Parts: sequence; C-alpha cells; structure tokens
Amino acid sequence: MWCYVFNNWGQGIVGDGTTANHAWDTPLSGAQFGGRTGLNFVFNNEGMRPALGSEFLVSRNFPDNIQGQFTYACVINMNGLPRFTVNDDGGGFHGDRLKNADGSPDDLIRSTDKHFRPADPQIGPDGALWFGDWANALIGHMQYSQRDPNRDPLEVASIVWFTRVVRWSHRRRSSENLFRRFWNSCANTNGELTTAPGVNCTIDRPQMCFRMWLRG
Amino acid sequence: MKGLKADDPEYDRLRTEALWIQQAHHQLDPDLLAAVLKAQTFDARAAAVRILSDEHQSIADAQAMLSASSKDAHPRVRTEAARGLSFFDNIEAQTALLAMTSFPADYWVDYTVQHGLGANEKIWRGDYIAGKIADLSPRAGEIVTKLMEASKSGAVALPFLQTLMSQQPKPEEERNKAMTALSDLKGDANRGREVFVRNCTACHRVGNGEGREFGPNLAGVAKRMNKFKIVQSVVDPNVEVAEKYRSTLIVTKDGMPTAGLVVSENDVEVELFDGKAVRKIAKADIEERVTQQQSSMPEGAPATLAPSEFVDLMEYLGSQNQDVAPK
Repeated sequence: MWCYVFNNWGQGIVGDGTTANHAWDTPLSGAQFGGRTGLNFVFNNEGMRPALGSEFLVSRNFPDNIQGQFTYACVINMNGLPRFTVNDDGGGFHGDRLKNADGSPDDLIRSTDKHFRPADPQIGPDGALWFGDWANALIGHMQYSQRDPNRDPLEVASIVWFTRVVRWSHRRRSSENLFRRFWNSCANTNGELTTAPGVNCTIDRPQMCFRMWLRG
Repeated sequence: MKGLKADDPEYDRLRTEALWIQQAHHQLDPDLLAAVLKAQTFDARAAAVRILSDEHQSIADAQAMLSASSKDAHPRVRTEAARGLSFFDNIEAQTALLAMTSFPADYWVDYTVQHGLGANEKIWRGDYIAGKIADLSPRAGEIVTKLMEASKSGAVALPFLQTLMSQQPKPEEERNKAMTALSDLKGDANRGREVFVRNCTACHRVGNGEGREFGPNLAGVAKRMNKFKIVQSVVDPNVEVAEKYRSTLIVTKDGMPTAGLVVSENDVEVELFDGKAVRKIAKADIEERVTQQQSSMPEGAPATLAPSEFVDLMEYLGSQNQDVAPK
C-alpha cells in the first residue's frame, strides 16, 4: 500500500501522491458525505511533489534523533527523501520539515541528479530503510514523445523498469538477524513451535512493517 | 498478556498491540477492549475507540460505548468517537455528536463532528429546526448553520459541476450554461481562501502570499478575466493557456523530437529549454513544429473539491482585482 502508514499508536497518515500533501486519516474516514470539505494537512511540504510512498522512521538500526520522524519519496521538484517531525496538535497532528541551523533543509537523502527517482521507502524487518530508484530521465503525464531519445529502452508499455533497489542502514549499528528473531518469537529452546508465527514478533519489534502485515 | 504487570511502563501500549492482533484474527476480547477504552494513556484509548468504531457491527452496545468516549477528556479520543458515531444513522447518535460541541473548540474534533452530522443531515435536520433537540451549546448552532449553508450552496452548484465533470462530454452549449450559472453563484471569499491555500498553492500564489509560481501568479486575475473565464480556466485548463506556459515540440529532419519552452528565437535558430538544458535548433533543420495546447495544470480539479468549496474558491479568485504592474 503506497502513501498510507501509521504511527506506533495506529494513527494513520494518508498521502495524496500527486501533491505530496499528507493528512491524518481519522477525520477523513467517517461515514460517506458528498459535501466533504478539505482537511488541513499535517505539514507544509514547501511545494515539493509528488510522493511515491511514505514511512515512519522507526528502527533500532537508526540513530535516536531520527526515531519517529516521517519521510516520503519525492521525485520531481526535489529528488530525495525529506524528513518531517510529527507532533501532537490537540486532537490531530502537526509537523515541520527538519532544518539545519542556517535554515537549509536537513533531508534524509537529497540528490542533485534530476534522474534520481526514489520510490516506496519502507523500513524492512532487518531495520534498514529500503527503497527503489526508478532512475528515469522522463517523468510526466505523457507530454513527452514515445520516440524521445531519453526514454528508457527497457520500459515496456506501463511496466516500470526499476534500475536498482537501495538498502540504507546505519554503519555502526547492527542490523537484526531476520530469521533468528522471527524463529525466537514463535519457538521454544527445543526448537518446537509454541505460537502462531507473527503473533509475538509484532509486540517486541518496533518496525511498523510487522503491524502493517498483521493488520493487512 | 497474563504476565503483564499494571506498573509496566509499556502496559498500555502492549495491551493495545494485543487488541490489534485479536482484531486481525476476528477474536476481540470484549473485556480487554472495555479495559483499554479506560486506559491511562490517551493514545491507547483513541486506538481502542478506533477498533470499536471499525468493529461496531459485531459489538452489541457499540453505540453506548462510543457515546461514553465522546465525552473523553482528550480531543484525539473524541475525534475517534465522532468518527465512530457518524456510522449510526439514528437521532440518539446524532444528538451525541451535537453534544460534543460543549467541549472547547478543537479543529480536528470539530471537523469530524461536522462531517458526521453532514453525512446524517436528514436524521437531525427536522428535529433541529423544530427545536426538539434540547441543551444545545452555542457552538452547536454555529456548526449546524455553517453546515446547512454549505449544503444549500453545494446543492445549487452540484448539477452544474456534474455536467462539467461528466465522463461523457456534454455538448458545448450545455457546458457554457453550466459555467455561466456557476460564475453567477455567490460564495464566501474567506472560506475560498482556505480552499485556495489547501488545493492550489503547490503551483500558484497570489502576490507575495503563500504558494509557488510553477503556474501563473493570480494577483489581479479578476482584472484579466471575468468570472466566467476564471471558472472555465479551473474546469478546463487547456482552453486558454498563457503563452509562457505552453510547450513546443520540434521534430528535426533527422527525426529527433525535442519538447520544451521556447526561450528565444531569431531568423536562424530557436532555443528550447527542455527542463534540463537549453538546446539550439537551426531553423533550416526543422521538419515539424507544434505548439502544444496541453496545460500542466491537472484537469478535473473541481472533482476533488466539495461543491460548496468550488463556489467559495471562485468567489475568492473573483475578488483578486489588485492592480499588477506588467512584468
């Protein structure tokens, strides 16, 4: 699922891919109403767009000063992953883009390569941040010619050719051994299964992906 | 769960995790749910109300439990309760929603209460107008009045917007009539400004206000266009695209296409900016040259707004009659 993630209390943030605006989902998901009006967004994304997936940065592999921040993959007028705080704002949430002391943005990843097209950032079960890089020169709503020489020759019809998948983790922090942790969560010391796989590992693991899988 | 002590710092979070696991397996323990609804941590209570709302069809006294949570001290829990109550189309649930306005204003709770009431207007409207709903707070009146105004202006605009947003294109005459009717409607410019900030500032701004200039600056737009033209530009951005925002496609004699904005041009060559670099193309080499009509503004934008929001946005844009010095 792209552009829907929740925090460690199950509160969801839903993103509008094209504008990269992000909203708290509770006020938007009540009974259907034809007169529904717009809802304030969680943060001002400073004109960066669009979003190709988002994630809460919660992982034992990441430094403490990043925990709980929000990121999304931005592919047109900013090529990278900006970071935002998400704080309580009365009933809802309000956040701000992370900035350096001189006011410049303090992004997670930022490229000067206009063809860097990050997609679908997710913290994996190993605690590292995984994302695709679509690495295509062309982007848009078919304003370009099919014969444009910049078009990726491997791009067939609507199938997007992922040039690479990136695994990004902290050098001095160990990644979690996925298999060992998974097995320990559902077996006893004699190697016998004790609970259904998946039931225990959500509780002691901070990564959201386990909850995402559990809640389907 | 059994070994978990109430003084464990993670007590509320772990019990909430247990509820999610139970919910995913369709095995909710009603006693655990009732207990987490009264947890110390407001985020745990909010999560429990969310679960209760999503499972309300299989929980016998869900409405009574939601009504109790609608009086919670924390606005996040109340927002969840308002969402849950919106699914109950009976007068008791709607009265409980109205009663939530007796708490201090909170943007998120108010939005959710208002939309819950909006979705169920036919349930409470008669009783409200007849004065049968007792003990209303002053803010209930404000919220309901705003809601009924919006539903009235939205109801007038809706058929015209449906004509314009129809999947099957309607005849031009019918479209023009609809756009004329929409440009004659009176909206609320202040609310329209909020709609503009939320929906348009990714590409537009007015003067030095909030927003970007990927598209035209809309200061003085009412001096340049009448209301009909403003409506038309939002409904169908491709009809009239300012020269500066049109892209040109040039195919040279060797069959190579280049698309971009014309930066400069003389008798001998054209300079085209394709988003990355400026390319010089000799006029003698040009096989074909087309100025594209396509605007980069998304079509169908009005379909993402409430009808009343469209009317308010047009009122706001129609009031931008500042004098702007030509650049």
